[in-house]
Amino acid sequence: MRFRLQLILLIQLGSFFHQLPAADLNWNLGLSSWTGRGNQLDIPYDYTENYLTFNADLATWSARFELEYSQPPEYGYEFTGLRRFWLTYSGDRHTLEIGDIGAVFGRGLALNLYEDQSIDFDNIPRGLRLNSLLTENLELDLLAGMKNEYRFYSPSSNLREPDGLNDFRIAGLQLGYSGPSINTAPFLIISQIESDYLWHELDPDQNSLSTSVVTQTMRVVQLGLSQAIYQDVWDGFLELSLQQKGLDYPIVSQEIMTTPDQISIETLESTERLRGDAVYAQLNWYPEWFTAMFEYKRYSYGREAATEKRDPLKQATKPLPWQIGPTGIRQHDINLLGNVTHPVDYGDEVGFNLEIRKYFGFSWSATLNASIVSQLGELGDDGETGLFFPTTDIAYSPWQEVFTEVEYIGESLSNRMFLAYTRAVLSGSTAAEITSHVTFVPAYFSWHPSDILVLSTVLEFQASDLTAEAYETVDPPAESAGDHAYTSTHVIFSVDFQHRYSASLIWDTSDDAALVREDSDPGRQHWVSTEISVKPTDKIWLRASYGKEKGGVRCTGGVCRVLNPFEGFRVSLEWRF
Amino acid sequence: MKRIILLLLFVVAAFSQESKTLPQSSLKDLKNKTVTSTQLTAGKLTLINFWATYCVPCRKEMPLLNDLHEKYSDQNVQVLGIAIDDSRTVGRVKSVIKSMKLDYPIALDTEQKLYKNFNTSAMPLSVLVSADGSILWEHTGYIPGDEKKMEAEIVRALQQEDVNQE
Repeated sequence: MRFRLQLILLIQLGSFFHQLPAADLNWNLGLSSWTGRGNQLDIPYDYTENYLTFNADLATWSARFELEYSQPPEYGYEFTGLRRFWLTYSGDRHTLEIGDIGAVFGRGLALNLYEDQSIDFDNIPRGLRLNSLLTENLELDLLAGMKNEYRFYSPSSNLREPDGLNDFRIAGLQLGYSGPSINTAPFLIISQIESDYLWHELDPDQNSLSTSVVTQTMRVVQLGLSQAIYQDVWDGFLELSLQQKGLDYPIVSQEIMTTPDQISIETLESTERLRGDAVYAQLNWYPEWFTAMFEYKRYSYGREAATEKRDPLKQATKPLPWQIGPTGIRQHDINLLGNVTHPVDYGDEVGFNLEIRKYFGFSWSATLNASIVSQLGELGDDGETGLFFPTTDIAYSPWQEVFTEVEYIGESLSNRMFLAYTRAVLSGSTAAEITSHVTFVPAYFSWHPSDILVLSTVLEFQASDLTAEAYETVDPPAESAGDHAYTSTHVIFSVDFQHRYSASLIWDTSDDAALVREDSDPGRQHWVSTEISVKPTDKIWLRASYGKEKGGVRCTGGVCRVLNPFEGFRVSLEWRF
Repeated sequence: MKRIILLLLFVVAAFSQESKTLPQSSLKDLKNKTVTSTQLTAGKLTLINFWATYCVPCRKEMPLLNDLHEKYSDQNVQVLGIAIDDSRTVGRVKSVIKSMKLDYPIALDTEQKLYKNFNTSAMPLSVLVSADGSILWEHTGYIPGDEKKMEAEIVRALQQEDVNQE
C-alpha cells in the first residue's frame, strides 16, 4: 500500500512538472529491471529487481527519487518503496544537498560515501551537505547525516545477505585551498556507530556464564590532510588520516576456566580505545615519451587475525564503513584476472603499484604494471606497529602481480594481448594456501568489415597452481596438502549488427577441483551461455541471456560489466525517458 | 505490481518531453577545483563523453573522440570527457589522458552526480549538448563505427544551428 502511494505520488509529481513551462523545467524517468535465477554455493535462487528513477531540475534546483521493487534482489534484502532521494541547490558559489548524500574527502581514506549496487554495498547516510566557495581559492565542505542498518559483508563473503548490520551518525568538515599548482585540504570527521557485540559475563549468584549480544557504541574522531602538487610533467598526491575510537564495551581477550565446582573468567587484555592510521601517496611522471605512475599505501585501521576479520559481532575492530581509499591495484577488465584479484583490506595492508604506459601514435600502446601488497603483521599479530614496506613472506598473506599489455586500435581492426603472473597467499589456520596464476590473453579482438557489422572475439587462458605451505610458527608443522594444478579458459564470440542488435556466446571452462561438480565429465566444468542484446532506440536496451554463467567481467555489446553467476534465463531492461 | 509499472510506463511515454537541458551539477577539474557542468558547456556545441579508466570500450573510443574534437574545434564544437572513476581509481585519470595525448578537456564526476541524471549504468555514455544547453542526442556503449554516428549527429546539429541563425 505504501509503495502504491509513493508510486502515485511519483506520477502526480511527473504530471505536475509536466504542466510547468517546458523551457524552465526538465525531468526524466528511467527504469532498470533484471530478473533471473542465480546460484550461490550451489543453491539456486530466483531474483527480480526493478528500479524506477525520477530526475527533475528547475534552474538551480534539482531532485532525484529512486523507487525499488525487489522480490528478492540479487544481493541483499527484499525491499519495496522509496530507497533513495535527494534535493540539490547548485548555485555558482554554494551547493546544498538534502537527502541521501554521497561524498568523498580527498581520495577516500577517511571518508568515502557511495553505493555499489552490484555487491549491495551502500554507506550513504541521509542528511545534508553544504559546499561553499568562500573565496576564489577556498572551499568549505560540511556534511551531517545518519544511516540505519548499514549492511556489513565480511571480506570474501559469498553470502547474498549481509553478515551484520550497524547504525551510524556522522558529521564531517573539509576545508580545501586550491592554488595554481597546489591543493590542500585538511578534514575532521566525528561519528558514532552502534553494532552488535558478543559479551560474556559471569553471574556469581548462579555460578554460570552468560553470553549475550549487546549493542556496542563507538565514538570516533578522524583527522587528516590531503595534499596535491601539480606540475607540467609530474604531479604528486599525499593523504594522511588518523583516527581514535572510544568504546563503551571494551574489546577483551578472555580465558574461560571451568571446574566441576566453579566457573571463572580471566580477562587477559581489555581495550576501550583503538587507534588507527592510513597513508596513501601517488606520484605521476609524464615525460614526452611515456607516463609512469607510482602508488604507495599503508592502511592500518584495524589489524586482526583472519578469522576475526569475518566476525560480524566485532565490528569495532574493523575499518569504518566509509574508510575506502584507493586500491593501488588494477581493476581488471580481463575476466580471468578479475576473478582472482585480491580483495583489498582497508584495515591491514601495505603495498606498492607501478604502472608505465607508452603510446606509439594513436594505434599502438603498451603497458607494464607491477604490484605487491601484504598485511602489516604476521598471522594473528594485531600489534600497534607493523611493516612499512610489503613483503613476500607467506605469514603476511602477500599478493603480487606483474603484467604487460599491448593494444592495437586500427581503422577496422583492434586487438589487445595480455600476459600476467599473479601470486596470492590466503591465510589458513595452520598453513598458507599459495596460488599462482599465469594468464595469457592472445585475443581481445574486434573487426568491423562494414559500417553495420562488428565481429568480436575474446580468448583468455589461465594456468594455476595451488600449494599449501605450513607456517614455520605453527608447532607441530602441518602436513602439506600437496600440489593442485588446474587450467581455466574464457571465450566470447559476438556479432553486432547495425549498432542495435548483438548476439554473444560466452563459454567458460575450468578443471579447478573447487569448482568442478561431481556430474561434470570428464572432470572439467563448463559454463555456456548466450546473450541477445537489442537497442531499438538509443534509450532502450534489452538484454536476454540463457544458459549457465560462471560470473565475472563481461565485455559484450559495446560495454563491460560485472555479471554475477546465474543459471537459466536472465533478462535485463534499461529504459530512459 | 506489473500492471502498475505498465501503467506508469504508459503515462510516462505519453508525457515524455522532446527537449531537455543539461542539469547544473558540480564537477572537479584535474586540479580538483570545482566547476559546474553549465560553465564547461556554455556557448559551445559539446559532445560529453562519460568514461572511466577501467572501461575498455571507453579507451577504444577516446582517440576517435580526440579526432572529432580537433576536426570540429574551429566550428565552436568541443568534446568534453567526464571521468566517473570513484576515489579508488580517480588517480589514474591523468595518467591515461596524458599517455593517450588527448587534447579535449576532461572533468571529474567522482560522485557521479551528473552521470546519474542520465539513468544508465552503461559506459561509455555520450551526450550531445547544444550551445544553449539543450540535450540533442544520447548514446550508450561503444562499438567500432559508433564514431561515425556521433559525427553525423554533430554535423546535423551544426546544420540546425545554421538554419536557426538564418
